[in-house]
Amino acid sequence: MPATAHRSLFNDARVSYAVLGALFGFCFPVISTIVDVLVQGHDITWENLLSAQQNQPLHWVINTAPLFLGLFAYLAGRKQHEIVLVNEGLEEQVRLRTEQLSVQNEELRTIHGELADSLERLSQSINYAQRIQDAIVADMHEMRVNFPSSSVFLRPRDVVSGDFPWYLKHGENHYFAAVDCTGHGVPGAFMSIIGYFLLNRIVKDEGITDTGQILCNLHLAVVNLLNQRTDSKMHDGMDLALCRVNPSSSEVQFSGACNPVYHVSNSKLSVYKGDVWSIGGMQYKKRCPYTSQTFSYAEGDSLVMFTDGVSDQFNAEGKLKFGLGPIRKTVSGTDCTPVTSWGSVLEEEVVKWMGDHRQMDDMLMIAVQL
Amino acid sequence: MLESLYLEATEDTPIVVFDAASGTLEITGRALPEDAHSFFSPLQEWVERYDSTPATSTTVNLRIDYFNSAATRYIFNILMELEELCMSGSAVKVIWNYSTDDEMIAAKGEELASMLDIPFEMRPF
Repeated sequence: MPATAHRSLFNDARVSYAVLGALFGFCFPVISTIVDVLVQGHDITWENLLSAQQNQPLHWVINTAPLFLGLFAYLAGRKQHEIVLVNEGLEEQVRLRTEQLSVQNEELRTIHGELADSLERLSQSINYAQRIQDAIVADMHEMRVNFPSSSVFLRPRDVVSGDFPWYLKHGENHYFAAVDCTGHGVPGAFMSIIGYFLLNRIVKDEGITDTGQILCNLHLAVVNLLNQRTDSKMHDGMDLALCRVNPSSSEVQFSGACNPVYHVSNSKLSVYKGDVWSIGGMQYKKRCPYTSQTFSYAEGDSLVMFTDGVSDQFNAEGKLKFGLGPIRKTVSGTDCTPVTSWGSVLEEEVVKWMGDHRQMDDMLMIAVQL
Repeated sequence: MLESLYLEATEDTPIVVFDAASGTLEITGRALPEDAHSFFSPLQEWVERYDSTPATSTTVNLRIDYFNSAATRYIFNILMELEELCMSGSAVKVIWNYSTDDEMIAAKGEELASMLDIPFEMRPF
């Protein structure tokens, strides 16, 4: 024990107690001998003291006081010594633990620094990726120019998003889609870029106009691109609602992969359901071509497309989902909210709904007044 | 005999209890894993192995409160594996438990039922 090694002899409780006990014990024979000499009326001289000692046997007994008191004090000292040793042991342990803790603390500080660094680098990288995705979503400006009464509500769960709105004017047709790619964040964003380019290619380059055929081609393109025919474990793809609006015939053609479209006419809401098949993955015998549904619209009618991120959002307690009710209520226009505000109204409501609960998925809604 | 597969629930993944001896496959809870592939692959592999030595009858009990679009696809694929087992003459049944308050989960069950050739029971609670 390094702490006890340099302790002087008298710092040892056993020695100091024994010496003090013996010294105290030595007072007894001294005082008793002096008292004896004084009681006999003699002077205090060395001879008288010696003679008192020799003639009075009681002094012999008293003379053992230093020995016994020393011995008892030694025993008490030994107890004290044990306590000191235990304390020193404890102090040593505390010192070692403190040392360990400060080493661990230092390690944690280093790890924290490294994590903060990688988080910073990741965030920068993702923020940069967001610029690219924003450039794509910028196509929606063209939609706003052609359809001034429209709104887009896109709220990515992370910075980049697997949901994306799509708009394209080709020939006399306007195409709108609300697309929900599998995954969110970076993997979702990868898929969204694939979806964006494939939709553009199919409509612009391949010249496909039928919405059902567009979805069929999109499915085949995703399957080919992701090698899903050979790799049966690749399930990625997308769900979407796709509309083609032809202003000269006042007709909308709709096809959906798992997602519906709402048609709002004079506050009356009609729901057109899509097919049950997602785009990509799932090579399955029962899969059938996507159906195209056509309906007429009047000026002032609206189309609403959205992904499940809004309706599936849990509330702060994590028990209830936002559901489709608020979307229907907002768009069926009973409170006369203009279409341009539907996105912000819905966002406000869903943000209030989720409170402190984390956002679980990307959210997207597109509303267009025709 | 294939060993049972048991996974505890986490915030983002459901409880999984696959018992080969009794032929009961249960998934309960929320399915929104960040990496759907690594979560569901062991389940799918288990079912693939189960298909070669199935119990006399198989019951799939699903009670899922939430799943993201990736999870839906993996669950569908597991059901497709079981559909093959069903086609080969084994008794297989899927029970889709859903809250009467949750129209989305109910609709998802209906969709899955329409996509599969497998006895499919919708069970509200």
